[in-house]
Amino acid sequence: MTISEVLRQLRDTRVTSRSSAPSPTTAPGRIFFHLGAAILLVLLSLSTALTATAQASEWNIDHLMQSLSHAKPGRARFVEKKSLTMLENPIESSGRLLFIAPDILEMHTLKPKNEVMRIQGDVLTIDHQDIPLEDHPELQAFIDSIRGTLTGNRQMLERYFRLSLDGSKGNWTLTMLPRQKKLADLIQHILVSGSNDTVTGIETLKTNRDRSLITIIQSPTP
Amino acid sequence: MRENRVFVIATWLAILLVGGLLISTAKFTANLSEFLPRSPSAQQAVLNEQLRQGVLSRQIMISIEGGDAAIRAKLSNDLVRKLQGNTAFLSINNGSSNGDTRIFHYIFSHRYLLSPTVNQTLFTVAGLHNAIANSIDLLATPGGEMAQSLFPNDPTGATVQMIQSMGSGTKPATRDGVWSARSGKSALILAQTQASGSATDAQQAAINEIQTAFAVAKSEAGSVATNTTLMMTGVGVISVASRDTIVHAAEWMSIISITLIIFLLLLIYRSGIVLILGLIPVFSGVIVGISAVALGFSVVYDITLGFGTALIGEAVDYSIYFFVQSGPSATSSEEWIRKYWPTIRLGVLTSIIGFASLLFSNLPGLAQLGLYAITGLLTAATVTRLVLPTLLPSNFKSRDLSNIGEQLLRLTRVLSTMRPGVVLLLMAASAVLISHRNKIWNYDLSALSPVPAAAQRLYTQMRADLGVSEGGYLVVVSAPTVNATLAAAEKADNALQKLVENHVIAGYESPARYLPSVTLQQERQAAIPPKDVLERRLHEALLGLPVKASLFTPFIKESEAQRTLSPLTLADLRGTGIGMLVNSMLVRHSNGWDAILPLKAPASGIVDTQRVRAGLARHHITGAMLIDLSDISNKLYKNYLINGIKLSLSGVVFIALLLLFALRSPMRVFRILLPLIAAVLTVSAGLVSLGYELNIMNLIGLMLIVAVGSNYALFFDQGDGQVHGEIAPRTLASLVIANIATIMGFGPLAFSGVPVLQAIGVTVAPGVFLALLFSASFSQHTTA
Repeated sequence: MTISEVLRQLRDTRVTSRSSAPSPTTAPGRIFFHLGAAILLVLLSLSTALTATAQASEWNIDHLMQSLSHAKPGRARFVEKKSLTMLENPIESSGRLLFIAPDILEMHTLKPKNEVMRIQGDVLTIDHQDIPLEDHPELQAFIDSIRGTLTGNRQMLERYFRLSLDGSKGNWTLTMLPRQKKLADLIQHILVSGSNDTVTGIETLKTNRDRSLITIIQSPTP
Repeated sequence: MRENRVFVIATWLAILLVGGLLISTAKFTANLSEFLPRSPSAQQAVLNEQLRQGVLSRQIMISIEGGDAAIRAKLSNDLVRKLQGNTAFLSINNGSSNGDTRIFHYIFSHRYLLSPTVNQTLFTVAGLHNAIANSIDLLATPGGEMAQSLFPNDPTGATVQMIQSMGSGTKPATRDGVWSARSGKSALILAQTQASGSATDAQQAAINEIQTAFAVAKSEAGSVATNTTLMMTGVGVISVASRDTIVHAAEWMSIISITLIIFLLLLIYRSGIVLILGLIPVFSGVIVGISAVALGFSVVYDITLGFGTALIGEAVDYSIYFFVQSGPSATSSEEWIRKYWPTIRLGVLTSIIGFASLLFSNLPGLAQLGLYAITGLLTAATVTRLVLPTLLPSNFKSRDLSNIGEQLLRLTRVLSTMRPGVVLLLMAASAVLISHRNKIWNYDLSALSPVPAAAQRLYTQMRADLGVSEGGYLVVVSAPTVNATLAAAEKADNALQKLVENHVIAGYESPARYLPSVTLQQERQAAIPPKDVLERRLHEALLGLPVKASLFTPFIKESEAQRTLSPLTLADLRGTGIGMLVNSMLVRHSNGWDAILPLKAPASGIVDTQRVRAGLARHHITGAMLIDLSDISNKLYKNYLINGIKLSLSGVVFIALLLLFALRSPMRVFRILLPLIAAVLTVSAGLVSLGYELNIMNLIGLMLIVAVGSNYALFFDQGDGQVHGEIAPRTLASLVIANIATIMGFGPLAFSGVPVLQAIGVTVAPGVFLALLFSASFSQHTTA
């Protein structure tokens, strides 16, 4: 048994809970799924946020998607407010977002802890630790969704989510509902809201009632 | 006379019988470590241990090729499932979800005994407050998702910290849920055998298990799997394969050599009886040689057996001299003893002096070859001298080869006109060697490896694909007991942690991370307060934090459980993955235990050993060794090669001294040695200019040229039976036949496919031929 093997086991195990397990949620595989899913959710929303440059006169999903296909580098600041059921009060983090076409997305948290998360192609990196997404087929949904959003590929996005657009052009909300059971077990819905071509917020509600609200403050592209 | 004869034959048979018994009980082995030192330094001992018994030696890397990715993944999973419960394997893993979570559970359920974050302050009010505040900060970040599910059980973050400190390893790629080569064209599996890599039979059994399981999986999968194949590599697999290669090569080469020599002798003698008699000294030599090795060493290396075929080619010379030189009648054997034996005796002595230098080599492989050659040649010569004459039937008649000798003699006269040519060749060879002086020797250990280059490539490739580390840098600390060794490792951990922080190294592993010393475990347990105290402190600690104490009921319960656990010992871990991991870094030896702490090099790939040593010294860690594995084995081999060159040169010097003592004429010694040195240099120059780098086995070959060639040179030199100051025709004929037999003995080795044997073959076969040619051209002659 080598060290790397242990690490591999730690990372690769996606075993569901056993009777001997201290807690069903502590199996490392689940942790990584949660982790990966959460990160990708954020990135998915970001990809929408950063590439949204609405050009269409008529406001519908197709036009939103079309405008997304003209991806260009984007920067923004974010503030995330998490309401976790296990905590009394919401907790907050903030930092910078970066998108570099075609496939680099980075979320750099500055407060309360410095943490860099990055997806480049098929590799997710958290604080310089690679988590190759190809090893986690269940996370592939998110990747495809992100790609779908970045490239304005509505079909790809709709393979995993049911989409619906509400509101007016000046105050719209894109609702994303998971189609597949694996995702639906985890996420209740994702709401991306915006005004014209600017995404202002992403709200995620998980099935365990944990809620996250990301507010995005667009900064001009340098 | 008759009594004497009975005595000689009885003694001879008794020796053969004892030899046969010794061989039948001897242990034979084939592994790469035969060219590792016999009396190693402490550092080398660790290296030896790692190669023979270490984790590395237990790995079998399996690759499934052909078919498509889906069928490879299916076969991979089937194979793993079939082998999972097999006692031959400690573990078998293909990266699929079948893997178990025991290591995680071990860490989780012993976190307060294992985590370095547990100290006197962690469980104080302030300590808990800080740790929980820190964990909440972590929860706020997106990466904190991982910590969230652990938070109620472990608000101190000890588990997360443990997992993070284990660092990241290189990870194989995955396809269809199982490990795959980077090319994507094969599925990979990593197995750990129960037996160490040097237990070749057990490794063979494990390999068979894998092959059988694969065959079953393949047939179950049906026609879609028809194109798939199984490949395996690893230290054990290579040991098994190289044993097979060496044994097969040794067998084949022996058969080819013996057949060729038998044909030659039949052609010359035209008599079955003479043939059988002629082979008696050789086989006596082989039996005594092997049994001497079995007696002198605890095991006989298979490579020594392979070398035995070559010896046949040389030992047969003595009986050839006997039959050819003594002429057609039985009565002439006494005359042969009187006339020729002194020369042969001197030849045997020079050969033995040459091989004696090998005995002093601290590479057991070479020492075995030396002992084998010395006892083998001595026996063959003695049997020829003492036993062979007594075995001759009274009406014995052998062919007179004077006619052939006469013709050869005419050829020799022509050759001697070419003396200046030999001198020129000698000079040219020297020039070649001088111009290539930096490229003559191959200092790489792998040059000796009996493993074909293709197998070595497969091994390297699969290691890279699986992310199995190559060894690299190790820190080793020792102590008499497990507990003391773990305590020493903990001390080293502190020093290494500082080095990580200063970026001298990127990380390290330690057995104490998974199994701290009992002392440290008890210290950590003592830091956990009893349940009621902890509850009280937790309440106080949560003031100002957005979390209710009731969330941490699991934490209170588990802290109490871990506080009262009996400390973990090595015995508790037996048979578990953690146990294997700890055992791989905790090695027992005669004086106690070694803890082996592998270091991870920083991005530059180079560990500044001086700073590591200084760091260890600052923490007063005495007796810690820092080992660079990749460097040490090559350095080691280089030393042996240089040592070997010195030994061979001293062998040549001693041969010269012996000749000087026996012949009492510097001029004659010079005339004997000059053709031999010319042959040695010409062969070396030839090999070097063909782009071949010489290794230690070529060196042995060069010495063999001198050892064998000296016999020819001596005969050409000896004035004994020379007619008109020339070599006798029969003697010349015997030399030529002996020479052909020697070439037949060594030549096939060049095609054996085993680098060690090949090296000897390509050196000796042309070398002895040149030695004869050059000796002939330097022989005394009447003016033609």
